[in-house]
Amino acid sequence: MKQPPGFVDSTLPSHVCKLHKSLYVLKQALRAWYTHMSDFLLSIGFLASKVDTFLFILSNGTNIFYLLVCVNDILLTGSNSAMLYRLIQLLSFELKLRDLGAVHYFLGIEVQSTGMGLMLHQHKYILNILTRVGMTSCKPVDTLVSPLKITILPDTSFSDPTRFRQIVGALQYLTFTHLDICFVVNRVCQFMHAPIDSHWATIKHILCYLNGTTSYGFHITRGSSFALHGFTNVDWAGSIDDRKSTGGYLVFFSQTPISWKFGKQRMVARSSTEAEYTALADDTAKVIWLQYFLIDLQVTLV
Amino acid sequence: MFTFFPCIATSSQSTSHGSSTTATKDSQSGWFRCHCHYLRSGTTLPLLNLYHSLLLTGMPFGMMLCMMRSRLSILITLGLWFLNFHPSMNVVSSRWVYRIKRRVDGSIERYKACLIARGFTQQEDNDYSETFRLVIKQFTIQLVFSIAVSRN
Repeated sequence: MKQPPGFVDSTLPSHVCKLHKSLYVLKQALRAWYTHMSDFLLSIGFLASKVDTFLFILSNGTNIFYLLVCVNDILLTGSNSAMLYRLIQLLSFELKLRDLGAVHYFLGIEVQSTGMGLMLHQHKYILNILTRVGMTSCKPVDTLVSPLKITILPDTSFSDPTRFRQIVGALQYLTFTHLDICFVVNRVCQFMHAPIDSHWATIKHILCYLNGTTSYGFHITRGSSFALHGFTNVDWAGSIDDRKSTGGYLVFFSQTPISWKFGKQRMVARSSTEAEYTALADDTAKVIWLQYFLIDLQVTLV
Repeated sequence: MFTFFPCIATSSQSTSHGSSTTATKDSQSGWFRCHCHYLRSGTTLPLLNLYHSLLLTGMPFGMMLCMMRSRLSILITLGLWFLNFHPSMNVVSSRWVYRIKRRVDGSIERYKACLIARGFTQQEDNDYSETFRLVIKQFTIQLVFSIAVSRN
């Protein structure tokens, strides 16, 4: 690396810095941070999840702790609050960290505890998107545009495709708590390569809808038993552009929906049964994946 | 081993330079990048006049300097780099970025200066091969929250 700007050694100005460790924004930085973090966690008894790289689990028979690492946000939960506190202290010896108390904001998602459980919503994030587009004072609408109307039309191409892609990308993250816009966002995504004016109008419509539903979120309620339930549905040959079917699945854990996908199927189905089976296969694959994950989390299904 | 020390001239010799000084603010992270001629070139860091630094980043220049120095001393203590002869390979450049951390009421909590490498000056295959990025799976978070709620 070149010597830091402003702090060049006057006796050796033509020298360069040979890096022995990683510095912010180097391509190696994230990997270096993760290795450092995971080595430390493994050394104090955590087990890395086989299914997801950013989950670590610590269990000692009776108590169990989950630790989610997301670059420099760490979320820690466990079954024993006294041990949890000690664990935080242990972590703070190695890593310079601040305990922010109970979770209320994680990765742009606001977490509120209600009497029944937890409420996840992205109120702030929606307002950020609306500010970016300059639509904070738009008139809220109650319904979304029909996804079937978003098709390839003979229309003029949208003047600023980059802006289109940015907003669609932002909306995609919003599907985390807004299941209702999931399908329509997926539909808009299919025209990222060549957006037209009417697609941009759809985006505006979605934003108007969001303006009226900023406080909508995702309620995680206390379930009585741990079980996985999957539901699927399809619309055969629903896409009028290429006659592919529209399919979707939704997987519930206890009473909380945890995994879903609504969108165009990858293959052309020749009958509605074929389309149904395709959706069922996707759903089953997901449920099996989640089963492995729950084994990792040491949760037994009832 | 650590022959590298920041050398900073305390004179205000360069304030008369007619170079362009701009600062850009990243709207998402709130970090300032200072595209400053004085910072970029030269073997010394002459004092920017107070007006410039305050205007551009809202951070008093003395504070900027102090933060950069403390940051640098941390990096050197960590053994981040050693000075070496200029090799015949791609050399990555770096930048200082500044940020004022504020409390909720708007009062200043602390000033920060950070040295960042310019990752885009790295060349693929020469400087790095595969890259790694932690990606969150949506259901992981929901599942963990859900289990946490169910088990109180």
